Amino acid sequence: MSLERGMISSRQVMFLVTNMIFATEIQFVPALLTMYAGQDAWVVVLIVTIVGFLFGVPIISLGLRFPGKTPVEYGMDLLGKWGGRALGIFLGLFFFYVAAVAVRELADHLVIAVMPQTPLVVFIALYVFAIAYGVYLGLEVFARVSEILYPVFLGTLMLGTIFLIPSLNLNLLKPVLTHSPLELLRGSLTLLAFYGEGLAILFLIPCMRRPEQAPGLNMKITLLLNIPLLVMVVMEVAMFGAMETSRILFPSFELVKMISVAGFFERMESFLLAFWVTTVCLKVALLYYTAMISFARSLNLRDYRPLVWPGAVSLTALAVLVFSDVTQAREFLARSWPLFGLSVEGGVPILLYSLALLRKKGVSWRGRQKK
Amino acid sequence: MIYFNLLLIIVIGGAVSLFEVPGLLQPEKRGELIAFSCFLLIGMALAVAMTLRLPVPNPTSGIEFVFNPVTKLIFPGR
Repeated sequence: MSLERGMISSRQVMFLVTNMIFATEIQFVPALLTMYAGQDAWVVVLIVTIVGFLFGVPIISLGLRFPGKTPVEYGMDLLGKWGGRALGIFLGLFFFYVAAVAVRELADHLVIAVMPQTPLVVFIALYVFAIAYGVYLGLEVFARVSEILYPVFLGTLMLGTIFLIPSLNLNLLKPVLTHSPLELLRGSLTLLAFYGEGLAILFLIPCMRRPEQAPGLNMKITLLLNIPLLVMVVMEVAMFGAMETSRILFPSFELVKMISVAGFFERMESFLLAFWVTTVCLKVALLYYTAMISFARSLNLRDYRPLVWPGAVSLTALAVLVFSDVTQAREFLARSWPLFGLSVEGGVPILLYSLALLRKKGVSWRGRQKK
Repeated sequence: MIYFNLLLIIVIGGAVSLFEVPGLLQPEKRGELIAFSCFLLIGMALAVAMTLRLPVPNPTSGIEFVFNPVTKLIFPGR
């Protein structure tokens, strides 16, 4: 018996996961990458394209090994009943925390850049209300919304940056490859920690109408994520220079502010902000949904819906609590988050996958096709 | 202002309960009812504690503290 009766297509999974990773990545990552790797930030993006693609392989094959089961359920098969429950609660808390961080980042951005007079908690409360409503309606609902809105968002962003090409100074990208491997590694860890939030795909694979389409998804998601990010990072470095990009709080926002065609077609940043509000909303909806599913599964409930509204009260409180100010947010994202995020995002699938192989539970995807 | 905020928290908690509890008052949904009450209590307790400016521990500082030895190795202080 499954908690979720809704079914989603492989394209919806692709857009949901890409949207989830891209929404916060584009806000903070260019500044962090240029902080560690300077004008070589684009090399880091290329490294992470390859590593991220490989990172997706075990996750997707783990999800396909146990058709129709969420990680909490096969965690119970692999670690025993109580071990699986503990893993479920832990995963739920992790996703809940990441959801709170994402809400707080966007609310901070709105307060700093757009509406400085409004209290932070107003943005957070209104935002969480919309998210909880979406999650209460179910996975299919926000999957469809992201399928419609994300391509529009990405298309507008890419189209807008075309107007910036005349004002770029490509000399700022030189000298190429002067940074040490250690500095590139720091940048890659930062970017990979954002990328690893795609772990939530484990909770989406059981809801896919055609799970046989899942194996190509890691490639599609990686490309869909990294090509726009590469474009943005190169443009930001070529526009502001590496030093300046690492100092700006939200470089992508500043970049889009520079668009000006004939003194008439300008102030594109309001479009960007409108789309950010929607994409981060969808991101948090997915993270929150994942957290609620794993809580409900671990507590052995029949439905996750009764938890959604009381959970939203906790999410609002946690989002206010999670950072004392934007400086702590940036410091956390730059230093502790890569290690914390990667140890959970990498540790959980590796633990489950190696246990599945050792205890010979589940059937691998190729093995099932031969039958 | 504090009293207004406290009132708002209680109104929100009451609205959530009014919305959700009638559907959960069946013997086979006891587990859901217990989980719902626990979640709501945790959320309200957090919100009330923060309104009264009690010293609530910050989870981010905790994570930073736990990972500090490794963080110092890979990302030396700037």
